[in-house]
This record gives sequence, C-alpha cells and structure tokens, in this order.
Amino acid sequence: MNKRNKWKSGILAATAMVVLLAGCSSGTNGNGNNSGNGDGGDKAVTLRFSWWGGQERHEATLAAIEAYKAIAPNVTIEAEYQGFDGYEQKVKTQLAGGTSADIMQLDVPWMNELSRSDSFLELKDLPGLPLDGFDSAFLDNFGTYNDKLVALPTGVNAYALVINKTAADSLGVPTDIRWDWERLYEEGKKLHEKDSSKFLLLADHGHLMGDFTNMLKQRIGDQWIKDDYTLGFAKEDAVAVLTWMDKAIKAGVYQPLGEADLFYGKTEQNPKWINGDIVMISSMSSTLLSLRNVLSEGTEVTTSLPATALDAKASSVVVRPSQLIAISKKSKHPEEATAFLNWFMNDPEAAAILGDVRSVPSSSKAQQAAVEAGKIDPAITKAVEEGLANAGIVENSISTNSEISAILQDTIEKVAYGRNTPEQGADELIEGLEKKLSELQGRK
Amino acid sequence: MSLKKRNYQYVGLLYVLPWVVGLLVFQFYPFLSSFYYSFTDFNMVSAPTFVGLDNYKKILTDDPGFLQALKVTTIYVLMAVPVKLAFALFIALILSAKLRGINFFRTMYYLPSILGGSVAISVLWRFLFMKDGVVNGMTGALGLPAVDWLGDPDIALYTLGMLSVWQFGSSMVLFLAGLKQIPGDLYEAGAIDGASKTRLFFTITVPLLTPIVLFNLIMQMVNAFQEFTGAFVITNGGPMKSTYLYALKLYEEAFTFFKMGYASALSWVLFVIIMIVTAVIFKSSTYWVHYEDGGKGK
Repeated sequence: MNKRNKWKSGILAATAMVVLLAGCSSGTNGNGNNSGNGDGGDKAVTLRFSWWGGQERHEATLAAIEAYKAIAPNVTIEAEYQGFDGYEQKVKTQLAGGTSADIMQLDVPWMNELSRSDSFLELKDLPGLPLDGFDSAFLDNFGTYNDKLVALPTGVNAYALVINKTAADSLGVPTDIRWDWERLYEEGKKLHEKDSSKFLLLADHGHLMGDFTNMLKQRIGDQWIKDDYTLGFAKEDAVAVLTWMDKAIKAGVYQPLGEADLFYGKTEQNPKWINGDIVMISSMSSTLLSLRNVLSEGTEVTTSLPATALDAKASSVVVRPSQLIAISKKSKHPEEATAFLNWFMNDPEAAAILGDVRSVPSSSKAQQAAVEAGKIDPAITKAVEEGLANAGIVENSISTNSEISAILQDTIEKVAYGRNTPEQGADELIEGLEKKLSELQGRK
Repeated sequence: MSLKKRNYQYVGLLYVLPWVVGLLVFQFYPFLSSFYYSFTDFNMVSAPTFVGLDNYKKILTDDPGFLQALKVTTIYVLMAVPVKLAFALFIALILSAKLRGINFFRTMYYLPSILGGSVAISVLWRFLFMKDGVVNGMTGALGLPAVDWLGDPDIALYTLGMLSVWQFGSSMVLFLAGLKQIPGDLYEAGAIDGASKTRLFFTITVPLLTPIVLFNLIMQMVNAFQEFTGAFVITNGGPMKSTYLYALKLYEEAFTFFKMGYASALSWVLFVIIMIVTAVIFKSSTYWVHYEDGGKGK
C-alpha cells in the first residue's frame, strides 16, 4: 500500500467511525429548534405516545392520532405500540434511563413502584385538562399516588366471564344464569363427560390464580393479604379453595394447565378457544374484543358476572381502569402533551374513533359520545354495568405484588399438576407468603 | 520502531476502532457495571444502595428458585450438549462422503442453525409440539398415543432440548472440516491390516477428531448454560418450573421483580460456574484429547 492510499483508507475508517458515533448519540439533543418549554402554538412539536394492545386498539389509536393532525397541525405524534408481553419491561427500562415516551399507557399494578420516583407530571388543576368528566373516587383510587394525581384512567374495566354463546348454546351450557362455583363445577363436569375434547373454562395459571383469590375473598370477605402485610385468611380457607380447584381440574372443568399455559398472556391464540371447544374465559372486559375477533364470523359473545359463591361474604368483582395514561415529567412539551391527552380522553370526536378499544371510556363526555356513535359493544357495556353494580373490594397493592404472585403461582401449579394435595399446597402457600411478606416489609 | 511502522499501526487501530468502541461500550462497560450492581439493591426506580455480599449470600443459602434453576440447567446441559455433538458428528460423517451434489445437502443441513434460536422458530416449535399439534398428529396416524410434549413437567425440558439439538449445524461444519484433515493413508493402512469400518472409526477417526470435540464441547456447553429463547417463548419456565433454566431465573429477577442487583449477582454466579466447568474440561482434556504433534503446539 503506498502512502496516499494509506491515508485515504485512514480517512475512510475515521469517517465510518464518526458516522457510527453520530448514530449512537442522535436524539439526545436533536430537536434543538423547540427546546423551550413548549408554549409556542405553531412551532413544530414531536410527541411520543406508547401503548400496548391488540390489533383493534392499535388501529383505532392510530386513526385517532391521524385525526389529531387536523386539530393541532404542528404536533406530530409518534406512535410506539406493541402487545402486552414485554411492555412493562420496556417502560420501566425507559423510565430508568430517562428515555420514556412523553405520553405513556401504564397498568395499575405497576404504579406504586413507578410513582416512587418523581417521573410523572401532576395532572390536577392543569388549565388544559378539565377533569369534571371523571369519577373522582376512580381518580383517587387508581390515579393518585403519594397525594398526587399522576395518571388518568382510560376506561372502566370489569372482571367478567366472557362466554362464547354460540358454542354454549350448541353444547347445552346455560348462559342466562348467575354462576356460582358449584354450578361451574357441575356444568363443566357434565360437558367434559359428554365430550372429552370440550372444556367449560379456559384457564392458564393466571386465570387459576384469579379464581383462587376471588373464591378466597368471597369466603373471608376481606383482602386476602391485608395492608399491614399479614394474611387475611386461615389455613382452612386456603384448603377449602384448593380442594374445590383440585376437584374441578380433575373433573375436566378447566382445560389442562399444561395446554393452556402455552398461550399464557396471549389467550386469544389458544386453538381450543378459537375452535369453540372452550365455552368461557374469566377476563377483563377490555380484552373482550380480541377474544371475540378470533372466533369465526357470526359467533355470538356475551358476558356474565364472574362466579360468586352463594354464601359470599363480599363481592370479588374487580372494577378498575383498563389502563392509565400518564405524562412524563421529562417531556419537553408538557402543554402539547396535556392538550393531546385532554383531546384523547374527553373529546367527542376522539371518543367516536376510539370507541371501546380501551373498554368503556371513563370520562363521561367521551362515554356519551362513544355510545351515541354506536361504538360501544353491548357485551362490553353489559360486563361493565354488571361489574359496577356488583363492584367488590378494591385490590390493595400488596396482593398484586409480583413476588407474591410468583409464590401463589407455584402453589397453584403444584396442586394443578397433582404434585401437592390441597393440604400440602395450603401449608406451602402460607409458609412462603409469610416469609416473603416479612422480607417485603423489611424492604419498605 | 521506525516512524513509518508506527503509523501503520495506528491505521490498523483506526480500522478496528468501531469494533473496539462497540466492545467497550456494549460489552466491557455492562460487564463491569453488572459487577458493581451485584453488590447493590437496585430496582431501576430508586438509586442503587450498597448491600455488600448480601445478594450472593442469599443466592447461595436462601433461594430455592436458584437451586431449581441450577438443577434444570444442569440436566439440560448434560442432555442437550452430548446429544447435539453426537448428532452433529453423525451427520458430518454422512456428509463427508464424496457424492454428487453433496454441497447442496451440506447447505440444507446448516439451515436450522441459521434459523436457530429465533423467536419465530420457537413459536413454530410450540405449534408443532402442543397437545393437538403437528407431531402428535403424525404419531397419532401411526397409532401411537398422544404425548403432551410441552405440558408434561417430566417431558417438556427434553422437548426444548430437541430444539437445541436441531441447531447442530455449526458443530457439524467444524466436524466436517476436522474429518477432511484426517489423512486418507491412515485409513488405507488400517484397511490393509484388515481393520473393520467400526474399528477404523474408533481408532482413527475419533482420536484424530478429539481436538474438535473439545472445542465444540466447550462452545456448546457455554451456550447451553445460557439458553433462554426457547424456554422463554415456548414454556416460560413451566410447566411447574420444569423448564426454569438459569437464564429465565435471571430474567425473572431482573424484569419481573426488578431486582437488578440480585440479577447481576446471579449472572456473576453463572459466569463463575461456567468458568469452573470450562477449566475442568480443559484439565481433563490431557487424558482424552489426542494431538498429532503430541500437544506441543498447545
């Protein structure tokens, strides 16, 4: 290589280097033209909005973003959307690294931890964000952390039995009754005995855990783990509930756990649900659309109140926001973000586009507009109305803690796979919970 | 050293600089910072607090999940690695034959390794091996009973092992290269002395391939200890934690419980385990690896 060539290639390598490094750092200070605090009305502003969801929610949300261009032509909303799987990890990592979207959809169980650091904009008394359409108890219970309103509920979400009515009718399963646990057991047993490829209930470990805690709460009439980090139930309560589950699993009321768990977190992909071999799923009303969309055309889907014991001491029906939306405190354009959030939550036009993709809108203004536009599915309305009328204990944060859930999951799985008797399961559960609770309390 | 020579050196450095920067930023920095975090309690929301050796103490003395993950991973490594190597060698022997169009077959057999550990293949694996899946459909047609490949706690890990064995391509290519290195006159001499094919294989092929076996063994062992994608996508550690591989335990602590400090400590424990196993294999290699030059070139 002669000298000149050597220099040429040296320069080439150096250029490549610069390009590479520039690629790494772009975005940190790329938008210098609007680094003020976003008060200019006509300056071009870019906001990032992240959410999770299924196909319908993505399409409707993108359409709403498109429509917002006519309202605020200078604001560009960059959509960052995906399925639920992995979203929590992404958002938490982004918040830790200071790279979160300006506007983000969040889930209730994450909020206690996330709001510990001061990451979100306080939403109370903002001039561009009237809150009179929202139920104040709903805002207090689910949007307020450390005495600050940091997130708004997108919709009202109620726990319900989602029923494939077409399949139920053809299989002789009643759909117009109020389900209690014994009835579930009897109908499930009957169905599976008649045809061993059919099941009354789809249940991965998440559903089984839900049924366990619901049955337990109905039995004790209180939180199953109390706010003071002690257990709200006695051993015989846990044994009774696990005994029922064991019996139901053995009778084929539920699809076997090993099969259902392959579709954990993506219930709508379960082939047995798609083919109508399973009649019901316990689920939040916000997932009803994606559960129905996979069924063949013309299939009728309805809902019912979740199973409740005849002698229940309290209702266990969870009514909570489908999701929450918060604005990052680090957003460079809080005013534009607030304006968009207000439009997204309250505006009749937005409501007509979004309809029920986040369950029934929680702002009454949006609710009314969506209903008038005929965009709320009657099955969702039914689930939410029944849920609201029978709303149960508001879950405290400790009982949805991820480490507590992991212990419960272990217990349920061992009983479901027949490795533990209900008795052994209850012992292990109580031992595991007590140990973890004292550890968590020490960390508080 | 003359000035000219030194200039040459700098140009070389400049060429590798992008890679070096990548190594420093994306490998070396996380490597060191994870070591620091392993001594802290860090949940990504609040700042890390120093806890000394607490994380390591808890891992080694008070974490049933760690023991379960270690058990599952050990079984997985002991099963998947030898089977994969044996299979790779078997296919390499077939493909070393001088046949027309053999390069086409070599390419085809390498394909799974390219598709390998991807999420898409894992999803496909789920649909193949689920209870009503394609595999049971085929075995059912032959009159065999349906097996719950992924839903039975006693079987699921082996089904995932098959996914790993299926990606035998890279080991196979190395074996193929090794087979080509063996001088043909050795076989000729053996054949003249009346040795059978099996005898030739075990006294000529196997000993002369042992250096390659050693290399493949270590590489595959290191990979198997860190296996994640299949178990995460297909079974998510279930049923009943029977496929709860070490990497899943690590992921769960980091991204479900957000205990980054604890997860960092777990990753360092895994690092030490892999180092020890590698050292043991290297030590043992003096007894079973045959170098033609007597190991002087080591």
